[in-house]
Amino acid sequence: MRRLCIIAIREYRQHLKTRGFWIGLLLIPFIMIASTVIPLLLDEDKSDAVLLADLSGRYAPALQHAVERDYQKLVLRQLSIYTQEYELHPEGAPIDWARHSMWFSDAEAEAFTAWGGLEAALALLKPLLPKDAAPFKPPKHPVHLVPFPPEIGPDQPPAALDDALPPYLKGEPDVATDDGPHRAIAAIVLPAELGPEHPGWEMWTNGAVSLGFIQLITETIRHEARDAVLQSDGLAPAGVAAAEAQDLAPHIHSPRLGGTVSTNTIRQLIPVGSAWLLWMTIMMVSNILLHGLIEERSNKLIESLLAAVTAQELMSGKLLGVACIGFTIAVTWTCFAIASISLAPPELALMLKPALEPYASALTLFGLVFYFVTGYLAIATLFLVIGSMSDSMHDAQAYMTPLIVILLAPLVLIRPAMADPHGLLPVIMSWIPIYTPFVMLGRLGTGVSTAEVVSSSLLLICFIGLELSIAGRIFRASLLRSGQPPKMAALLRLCFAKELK
Amino acid sequence: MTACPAPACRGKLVSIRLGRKALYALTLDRVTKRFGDFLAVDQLSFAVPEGSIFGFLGPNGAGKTTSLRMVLDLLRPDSGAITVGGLPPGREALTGIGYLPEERGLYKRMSALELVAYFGMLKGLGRSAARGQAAQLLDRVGLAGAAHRRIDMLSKGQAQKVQLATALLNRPKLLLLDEPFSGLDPVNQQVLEEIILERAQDGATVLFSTHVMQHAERMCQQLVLIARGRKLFDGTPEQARRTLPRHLLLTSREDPAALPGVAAAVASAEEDGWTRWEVTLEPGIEPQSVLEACFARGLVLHDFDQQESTLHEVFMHLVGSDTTARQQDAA
Repeated sequence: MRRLCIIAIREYRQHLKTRGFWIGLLLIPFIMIASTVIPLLLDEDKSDAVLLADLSGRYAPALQHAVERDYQKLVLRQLSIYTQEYELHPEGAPIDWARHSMWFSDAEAEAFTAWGGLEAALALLKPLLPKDAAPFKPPKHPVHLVPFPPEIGPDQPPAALDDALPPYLKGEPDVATDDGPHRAIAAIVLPAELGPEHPGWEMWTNGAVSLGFIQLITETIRHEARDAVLQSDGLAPAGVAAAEAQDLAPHIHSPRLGGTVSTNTIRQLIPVGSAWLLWMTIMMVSNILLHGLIEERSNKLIESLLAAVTAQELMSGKLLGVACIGFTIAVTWTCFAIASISLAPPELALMLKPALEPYASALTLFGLVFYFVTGYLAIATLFLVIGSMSDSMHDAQAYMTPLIVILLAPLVLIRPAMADPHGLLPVIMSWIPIYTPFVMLGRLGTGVSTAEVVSSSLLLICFIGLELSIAGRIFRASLLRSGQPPKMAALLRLCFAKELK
Repeated sequence: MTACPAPACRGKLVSIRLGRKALYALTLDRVTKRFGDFLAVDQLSFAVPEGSIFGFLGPNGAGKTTSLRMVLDLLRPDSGAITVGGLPPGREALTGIGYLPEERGLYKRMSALELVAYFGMLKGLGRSAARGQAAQLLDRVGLAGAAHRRIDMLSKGQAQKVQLATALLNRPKLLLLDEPFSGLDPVNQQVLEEIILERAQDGATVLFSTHVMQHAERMCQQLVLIARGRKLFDGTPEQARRTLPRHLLLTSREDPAALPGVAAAVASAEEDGWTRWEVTLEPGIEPQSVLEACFARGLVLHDFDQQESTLHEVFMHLVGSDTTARQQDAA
């Protein structure tokens, strides 16, 4: 055992000294952090202006109302995060804005405004807030609809506006709004008449306008036009609008899932992500193991080692040392992932909360470690055997290609499998030992039965025991062999020979 | 009680273990090893006395490395028995062995000191003891100044000395050196010879294989010569030399060919009526008996020189004879 540990420590320390290890270790976390920090740095909570000229006089109030309603949704979203941050449970509001959802409907925004909006909400929250609570910071209006400046006549032909608007769309000069001067990002001209027989409305942008905003304007104009048609046909637009505003979204009440469709989609993120993380870690360290062994064989130092330690000690020491490297990678990446989530906007953290919930139990955490260790042993041992038979990566390639194809299966199938964690595909994969760790890792938080977890894990342990025993034979017999790697028939004879010579 | 395979005691039962002390550091008894159809080692038997310097000689492909690998338990014999200090090859026996393989290699990214200390720890030394011994051994092989240099920054000869240091760690009772002199310059060959002698004086048994007979001639107290897996000779260097007919150089006025025990006499030079003869004796005939015959027959001698056969000649003779015999068998 002592020699085994000495070998493991050397493997670990030597790899820690390589530049490639540190690049591999830090590159993925860097991408994780960058993917959350960069958007934060770019998100300045800024306001922009949109120039609006409604030559018909019919649409401007509706557009102003729609933009304000959109802003109120933003206020509701921020309030939702604020109440969850301080774990407040306000009662008396007309809508459940303290719920775990970031998305609010038009009707909810209207009801919120009618109830008294932000002012009423803050009054409701005030007695519930802890003393040291930070004051609520309302979001800025993302868009201010403002009239065209006097020097630009909106009734000019489009060609003339093509020349007149660009300076404003470049922020030269800014446009005055209720909230101070802001850069104009778009200009909208609605003609005196809209309809199939008339020209459409026109919009000039500097490219910074979101698709959501364009959709908002389009929908609002369409609704106004539709209301006009309904009224002319003697129908009450308010009644149609009320019918449309009914929330008919499904709510799933499955015993093992629960929540909404979006919640269940989010729940798949962590299992699938964990399986990916496990796969990537195992493949990375298995490659380290393979390269290390090939280096030792090609450097002719195996014989010196085997004069000091047994082949079994060498094999086990290498497996242990490289496992520690893998564990370091997995723990580092997990820490960075947690840091990344904590740095992420609160709404993202709240969104991921249902996905993380199943992983909060000690049993599941044990499962994570168990499947990491068993997954590593099941796969790294195969790489170790290949390394022991190969003098070069070229030699190893003959075995690696089919192995990689086999090992890619969980990576390709995990996403569809997790769509129904109790379907036939994931259940079958759970019983194939080299796939068990990946699939069961994904299924852990989905209510999989203890009997299935235990029995598939026992099968996995038996498989690893057999695998290590056979690998030990091949390892010992192959280390000092020279020439071409053995053919498959010779390998099979070696695996099941009565006595190893 | 075990059958001793040494030629001097073959067939007798002798005690090779007295309490915990073994008389032989290493014994091989009718050891055979095949790789498929290839017979690598064929019924090989010999015994290495404790504290001796033992030469393990043979041409390429003779089975020397295979035999050493069986001693180290890296390979298992198909038949026969091996003991190392009275123990069968394995974990326990391995702790007393220092091994320098023929194919050498080191971890290129480790420093010389780190690497030797690593092997020291694998051989059971504590971390600080391993580093201490590693520093001493590197100093002994002349690498004190390069102890902290990475292996890939050392010359081939320096790397070879680092590898030698790994074999010498923890003062092994049995040193197995497979072609230890190959790749070393004459100065370092001399250093290695000194180290081997030092270790033997300290009580270690040293077995080394070599193609360079001068080393064996200078150092070995006993040797085994094998070819194609079979033993051709087992004994002292002196006994090895006697396997060849003795040669004399004598100067006389008469032809010595008629003397008893003389197989052939060839005249090589003449001067002032004296002829210089190169004389080959019949097998088993000592020069002394020829000298006595000269006096008995009144053969006047100007000078009489005994010519010692070299191990190189013995090697060429025995290996060549074996090859010829096998070729004839095959024909």
